[in-house]
Amino acid sequence: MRLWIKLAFKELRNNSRFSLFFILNLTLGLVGFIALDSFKISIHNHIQLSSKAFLAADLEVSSNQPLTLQQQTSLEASMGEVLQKTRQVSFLSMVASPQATRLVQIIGIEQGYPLYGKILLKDQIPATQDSLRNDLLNGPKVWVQPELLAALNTKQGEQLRVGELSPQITQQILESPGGSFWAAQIGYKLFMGLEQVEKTGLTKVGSRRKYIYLYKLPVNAPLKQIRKRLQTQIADQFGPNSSVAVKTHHDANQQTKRFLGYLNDYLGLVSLVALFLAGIGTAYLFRSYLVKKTKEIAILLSLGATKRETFQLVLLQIAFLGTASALLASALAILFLPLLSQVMQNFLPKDFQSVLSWQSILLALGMGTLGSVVFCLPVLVRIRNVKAQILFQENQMETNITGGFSKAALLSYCPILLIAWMLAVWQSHSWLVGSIFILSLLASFLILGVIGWSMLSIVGRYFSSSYLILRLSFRNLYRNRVSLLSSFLAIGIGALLINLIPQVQEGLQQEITQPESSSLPTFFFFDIQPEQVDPLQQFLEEQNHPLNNISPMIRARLSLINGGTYQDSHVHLGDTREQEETKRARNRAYNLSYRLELSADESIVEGRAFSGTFNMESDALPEISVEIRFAERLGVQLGDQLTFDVQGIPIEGKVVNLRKVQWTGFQPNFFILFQPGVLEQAPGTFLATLSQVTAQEKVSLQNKIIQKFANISIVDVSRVIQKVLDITHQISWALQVMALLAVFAGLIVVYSLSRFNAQSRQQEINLLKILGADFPDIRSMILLEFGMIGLLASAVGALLSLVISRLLSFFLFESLWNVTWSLTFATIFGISILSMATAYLGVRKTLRQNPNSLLQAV
Amino acid sequence: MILKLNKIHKQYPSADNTEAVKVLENLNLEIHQKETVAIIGQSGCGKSTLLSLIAGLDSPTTGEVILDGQSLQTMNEETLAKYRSKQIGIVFQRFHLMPHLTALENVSLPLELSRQRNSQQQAAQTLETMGLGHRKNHFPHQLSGGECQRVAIARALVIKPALLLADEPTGNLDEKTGEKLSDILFDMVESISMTLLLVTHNHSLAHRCQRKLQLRDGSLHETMD
Repeated sequence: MRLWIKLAFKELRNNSRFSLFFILNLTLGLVGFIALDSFKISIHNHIQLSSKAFLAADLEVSSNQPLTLQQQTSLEASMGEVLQKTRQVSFLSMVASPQATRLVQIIGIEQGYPLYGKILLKDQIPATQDSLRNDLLNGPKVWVQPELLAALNTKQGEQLRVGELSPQITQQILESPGGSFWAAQIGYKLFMGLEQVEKTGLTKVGSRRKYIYLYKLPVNAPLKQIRKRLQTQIADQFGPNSSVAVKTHHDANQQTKRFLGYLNDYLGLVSLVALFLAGIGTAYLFRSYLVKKTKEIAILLSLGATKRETFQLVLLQIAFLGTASALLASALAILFLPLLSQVMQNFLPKDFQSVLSWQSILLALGMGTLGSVVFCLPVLVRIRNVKAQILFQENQMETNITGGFSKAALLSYCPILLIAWMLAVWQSHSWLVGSIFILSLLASFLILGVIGWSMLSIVGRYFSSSYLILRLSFRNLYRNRVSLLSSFLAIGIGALLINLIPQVQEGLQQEITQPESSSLPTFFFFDIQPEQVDPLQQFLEEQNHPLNNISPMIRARLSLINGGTYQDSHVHLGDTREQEETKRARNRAYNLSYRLELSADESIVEGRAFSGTFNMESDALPEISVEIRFAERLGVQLGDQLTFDVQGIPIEGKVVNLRKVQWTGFQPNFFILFQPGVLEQAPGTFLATLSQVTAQEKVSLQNKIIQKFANISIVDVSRVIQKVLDITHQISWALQVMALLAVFAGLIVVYSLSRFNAQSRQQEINLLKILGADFPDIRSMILLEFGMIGLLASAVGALLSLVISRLLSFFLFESLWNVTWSLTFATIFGISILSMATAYLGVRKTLRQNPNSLLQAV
Repeated sequence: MILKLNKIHKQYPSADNTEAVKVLENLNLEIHQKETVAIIGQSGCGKSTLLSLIAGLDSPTTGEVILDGQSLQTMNEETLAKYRSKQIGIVFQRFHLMPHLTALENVSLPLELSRQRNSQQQAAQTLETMGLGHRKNHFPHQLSGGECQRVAIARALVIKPALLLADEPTGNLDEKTGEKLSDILFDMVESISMTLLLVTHNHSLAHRCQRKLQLRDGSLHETMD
């Protein structure tokens, strides 16, 4: 064994350029893999850890009405042991300082809150139960967000008007449970004692109060079972349409989870693509190395080495290079991971910590060692084809290894497929998505193979030219089509993977960036009563600020789909993310609206526009428009009949179109729209927006409206929108960085491929030179051949990537997809140029060499 | 008797798979211990194929190669490799040295492959005998053609094989260097008392062998000139 180890290292040292390239190629893929995988694990851990703090409890029961003591006790009996409990009430209301008035989310709490997580006060000091008892809960006092102080133009120590009470501001809150890290919050938070809230008188009037009962349960309490028990009990005790709801900390923070889920899947996809690209590059580099090694393997065989021993020698080399790459990648990932967190820090939770996971490193070590062997296996099995008798022959030195497909050669691709499939499933957390990804790649291989073979055959057979260079190039392409097909496949798959990530990224990015057409609103108006619409409109016209996007809003609960109830709307442990979303969507109450025309941010994806106002005399059902991704979550299709419960009255309608909504337009948009003439008589309120109000006008205009229309809630959304826009810019930048990483890895692979191809033409170029061919002619011929292969393969690969990115976007990212031709053309152009440039450098080197040096052999 | 080829037939499928190309037909040969035999023949007559069969690198379509009483056709790939590493030395026309190994390492390689002790000393001694002691730490690309072939011969002889196969050993060298090399080759063969089978176009080299055979129409014919 020592001999083989010694030989293996000597060969690697002697082929230092190959060894370095191999390590560089694999390291790049593995660094991306380890860093992104660790990052994903960190995200997962954070979600787990933060969800209790987000809910401030293990379990929450909420209701629009306060529960009686008897009701509470009855529900608590189903929870098993309760370690601790606390109550909370939450609602939106206007509060005033002597200078201004603002919409505020009032949160009434009592001793014990929060059961998990913390309230962080000014100067980063966490609130203790003592500070709660001695300060907030001791008399009419409030704790507010510093931003509210600025908005109300007041300061700590001053008093606010909250309903009938004038509490003193005694603390400022920097963080509190329930704060979503990127959600645009409506209204600033104001904490006060639960008893004090009762004294404000605000709980007697107004709407949308939420009474929350928080519970801390033992660590091992079966939360999902308890939730299910409670849901059944609530349905029995309060009726199926009651507002009483139960949720565990696992259900909390859905918005954050959904966003991080996208990020997770995107990163998984990038790491998978980086790894695949590295695998293809490594296999190709190894192929070129092994072609050069054919003669040496034959010599060893002639000296008495067995085939098994020569196989071992090469296996040892790959395993060593793979392990070295994985170790180097682990070291680099330690440096790279903090950088990744840095890049994303602005849109990640404040207390998010990225930790390099040992699981990722071990996996990378496995991938480096075993993965490189597996990826090189199809080339490795061809060592069996090397025969020592080639040493007696002159011209067969390099042909043996690249021979045709045997059964063993075909079988050698199976481990790659298996590992690739397992990785894809693991990364995507879905058998379906992982299998689709691998099947798409396989289908792409097949399509590329068929197209490549046809193109190379057609080029040689039907394109003949009187121009020597063209004739030689076409003939070379045709005659070498067997060996060229493999580079065609590799470049094509490379182009596919390179173009895939930017395509997916572009779809996600376009979704989160603001549409150019929409003008951002300054104010959002809620709770406009139907009879207030005209006077409000008139009033604002007088102020030269016309009211926009006046939209009716009717609260309703979806009761039936196609006449049948949905039996199981509870989320189960084994549910996929898609099933969970469907069930959650079906569980909610919705805001319906009606309008004939679509807004500027909407477009019909499937179906037809509303036929007009609903005719009560007609037999037809009212027409419904559903937002496309919401329809997917709900499992609703065109033509389905939906029945809504609007304040106890069933309203039925038929889906006539599915709409795409650009939510980042920040206009009032709805998941479900009815055609006009159906919901007009249903009890509801109106929403509206006001745009282009200057900073100077804001306060006075808001005060004027409040004086005239006291019940209308006004939210200044300009600051929130700006914050969201800033964050989306950062996310889109991070998406681009990741896409660039994948492109960079891909270009290195294309370079490796072209370099290998150029090397294999060395002998032929040399012979042409000896035969007296003009150097410019030789250069042109090679550039033409490589340009054609690069262009054809990358064009087919890039087009296939559009299909796969469409599929992935559909299954992973809720159809966030836009074809970006500029990127596709850039990929095709870039790869063709890189392929030609690499070939040109190779040819230039060969042309400079003494022809004899290439003919000599030792 | 050390080598016996019994009714050897060797044919390859033709390019269009219609008719097989017959290279060797009913070829018989017997070579005794310490005998030196030259095989001459036109290009493409099957000389290299014959050497491949004798070295156990290829197998005949029919017939038997018996070396030292053992039929090569009864051995599996691994036994054959081990047998070759101990009993057969091969010298190629194009030297075929391992480019990343020094002269000494190239020569010691077959000894290491057959797990022999003191491989370095034995290899150094053989190189010394070949007049290459001062070049032992040089890589093949640092040596001349003659020196490369001497290293190749040293590599073939270092295991003291029962049978030495040489394929045009002077074919890649100029006349003077070729003559010098053939002197060394024959001296060594004589001193180790081994059997030599060489394939050549070079008549003067062939004349130095005890027997001269011509490969013609797929079989061997004794020749006196």
